[in-house]
Amino acid sequence: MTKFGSMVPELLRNLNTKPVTILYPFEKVPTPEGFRGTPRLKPGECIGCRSCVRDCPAEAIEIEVEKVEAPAAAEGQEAPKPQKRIKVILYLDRCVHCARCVEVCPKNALYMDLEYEVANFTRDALRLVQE
Amino acid sequence: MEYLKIALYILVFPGFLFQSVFSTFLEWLDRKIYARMQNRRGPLYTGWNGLMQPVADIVKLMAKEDIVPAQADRFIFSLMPLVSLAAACTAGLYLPVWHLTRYNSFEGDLIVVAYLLAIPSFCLFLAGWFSVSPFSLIGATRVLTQVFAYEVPFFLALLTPAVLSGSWRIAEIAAFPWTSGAWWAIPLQLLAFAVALLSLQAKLERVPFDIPEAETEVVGGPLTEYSGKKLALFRLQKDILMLVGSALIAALFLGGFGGGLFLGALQLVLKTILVVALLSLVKAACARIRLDQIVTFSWRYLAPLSLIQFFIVLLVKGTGVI
Amino acid sequence: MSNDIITIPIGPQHPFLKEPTKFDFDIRGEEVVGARINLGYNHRGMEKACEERNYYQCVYLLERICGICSHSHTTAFVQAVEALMGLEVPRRGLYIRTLVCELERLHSHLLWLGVAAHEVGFDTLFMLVWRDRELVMQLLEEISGNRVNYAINTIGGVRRDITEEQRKKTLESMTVLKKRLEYYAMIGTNEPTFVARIKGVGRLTKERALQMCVAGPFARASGVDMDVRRDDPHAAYGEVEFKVITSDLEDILGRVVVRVFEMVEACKIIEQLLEKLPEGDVALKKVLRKVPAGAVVSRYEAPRGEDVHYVRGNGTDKPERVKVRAPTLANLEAATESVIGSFVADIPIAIASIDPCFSCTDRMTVVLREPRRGTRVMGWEEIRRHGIEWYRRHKGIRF
Repeated sequence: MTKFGSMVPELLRNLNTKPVTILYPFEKVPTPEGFRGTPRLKPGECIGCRSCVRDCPAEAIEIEVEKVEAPAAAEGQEAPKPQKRIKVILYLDRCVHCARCVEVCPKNALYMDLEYEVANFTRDALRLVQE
Repeated sequence: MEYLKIALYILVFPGFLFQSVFSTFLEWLDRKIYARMQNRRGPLYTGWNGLMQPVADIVKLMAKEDIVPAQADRFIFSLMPLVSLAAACTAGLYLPVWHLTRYNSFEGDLIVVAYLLAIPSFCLFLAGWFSVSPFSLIGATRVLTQVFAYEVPFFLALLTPAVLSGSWRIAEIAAFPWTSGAWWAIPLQLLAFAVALLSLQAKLERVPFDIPEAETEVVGGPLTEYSGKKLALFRLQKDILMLVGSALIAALFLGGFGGGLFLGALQLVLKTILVVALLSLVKAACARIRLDQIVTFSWRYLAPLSLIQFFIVLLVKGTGVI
Repeated sequence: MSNDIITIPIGPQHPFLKEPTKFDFDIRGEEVVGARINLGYNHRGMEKACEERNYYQCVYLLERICGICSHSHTTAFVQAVEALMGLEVPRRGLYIRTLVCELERLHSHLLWLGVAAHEVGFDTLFMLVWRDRELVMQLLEEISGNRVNYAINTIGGVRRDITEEQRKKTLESMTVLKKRLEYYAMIGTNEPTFVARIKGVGRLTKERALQMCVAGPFARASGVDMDVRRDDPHAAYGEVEFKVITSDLEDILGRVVVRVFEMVEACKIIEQLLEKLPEGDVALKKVLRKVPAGAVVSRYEAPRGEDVHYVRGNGTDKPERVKVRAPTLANLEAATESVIGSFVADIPIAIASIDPCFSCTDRMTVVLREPRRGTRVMGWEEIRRHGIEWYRRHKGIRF
């Protein structure tokens, strides 16, 4: 049973309602708390275990570990342990925002922030290097 | 002085300049109303509230590259936009707004306007046929089949007020409810108004009758191969056709644009806006029906309804009330 | 003129196709007399790529087979791996997994309804349906962290828990959605121009549907009573009550009706799941990374039909073979056949009525070894080297 003009009441009602369009970029929808934005490193927490490198589906993390020579032992004290300088490179253009790295890190050194507007003009700008 | 007035008439009001400006305004209004009915905003940023969006579209198209396909007939391909635009603009000169001389208002100018309004559809057919691409060929045949569907109800609907007022001059038909004091002639012809509205929707190839240019089926229909300036002219022609068609319906069924220059212009603007708003409502409320369904719908519903209205008008005239 | 058969190619680029495919239709006048289909434009080598990645990376890779039914692919894969390893997922995890499954079904069917309306030129319904789809997308964003590619599945359960606030918000949204779905059911069956386009179009009889092995709402609209959720319960489907919607209309109107009422059933399932949500963990704590040798076939009812995954493990932490059979592959031949005999204008809506997802479909390539035409078969490492070398030499891009 077809009714002629069955959409008309809703259409006329819609003329009176406020449109649902969000005027991006002047208005933005607030992102909820658990949103998986871009991965970031908390500095100083990484131990260089490379679990994240192994499990990242997009090969977006690289870790370079270099040993820093320990300074000479002072008089009567133990030689300080050789330090490791860990460089973490995050390729934000390869990242698929799955948060597997966050999940698998034993020290909780990675976290996802709420940023989603990471478009850029050069690839180098999307290469985050942190110590 | 006379020649200056004629030049102003043809070029400024209600000639080409007024038609271009007002038709782009009507396209903006149509897009805004259509969007508001769907709970969204429509054009917003070009100009105040998006007013310049249709103009921006046409200007952008003018600046784009104009490609003529290798197999197409170059002459007809380039000529069709101009001919259809010229036909639509010329039809607009016969609207009874002001300065009615014996050149633009005479016995039978209703027929001339109806004929001029039929030319753009044939230009669309020729444009599609001579651009020799599978999609445009299908679109062109669809345009022609659709013409057979809506032209007869359209003419019948336009005939009704002519019979009621006993004249073939648009100016006299428009002024009839006021000169004869029979204001109830306007509600009497509601059926013909509805039929004329739907036939105009089919002539303009808008939903639900836009099968020739169905984007999801035949890409662009007859206009598939058009680009650049030629496409811009076709767009302008579509807008002006909407303006002239709506103004014609407003003149015949809603009581015309009498009262001199300023009052006439105001009435023209307001009544055309009303007709365009109704066309937008029809566009928003329907899906696109198939070609065979369009032909069935016109011949089963539109033509008989206009005939019924015609008989009602004949009865009224027969009782000698008017 | 009337005996002339012309062939129009539709695709790979066409406004009605959302993804590239090639169809060739023989038409006489306005009638379709023959149809052929040509797939393969979306083949990305996913199954091969799975063999080089460990199981956890595979989960995220398989998610990206399709944007609309992404959760279906991960769930089918994860179910297969869990069966291979003999894991028992905690009940709360199963409930949340099913919740996201049904939310995905909602968003996919709403998307389909809008797109089908757009194919027949009914843009108003398209805009209104997609406005209501935003409700579901925002729910999914809160629950899983992203609007598409939810990444909520992991081997052994789900990755996130659902808070009380999210639970309440979901229940409220379901009430709103059910009212809107009633309105769309009324429009879908009553609006004369819409019904005129879809009634009697794209007919597929029940016998032919069974012969051509179609799946999902496409089959259910032809009267075939088949639904993996009821016949082979997985996740939490064994513990909720729902109806399997079939229709005997056998045309596109039937498919609209089946999908709209399936959406109503999905809302009811979500309400039941949220009310009966058990306490406990959402995932197993310690999961071994190496999967024992064996082969598993896992079935799942995606929004488009039955999704089949075959996983073969060999004791390492990388799968040996993953095969994905998407439901659209089963439906496409039947869809092209259902168009023969109707008008050109019916082609878009008939093909769109199976809810085609060509990205899911293109999984298989057949290699014809013809040495004289220069076809070679390259291994993974070789093809990667070849690609890097080609781009370095021809375009100067260094990877």
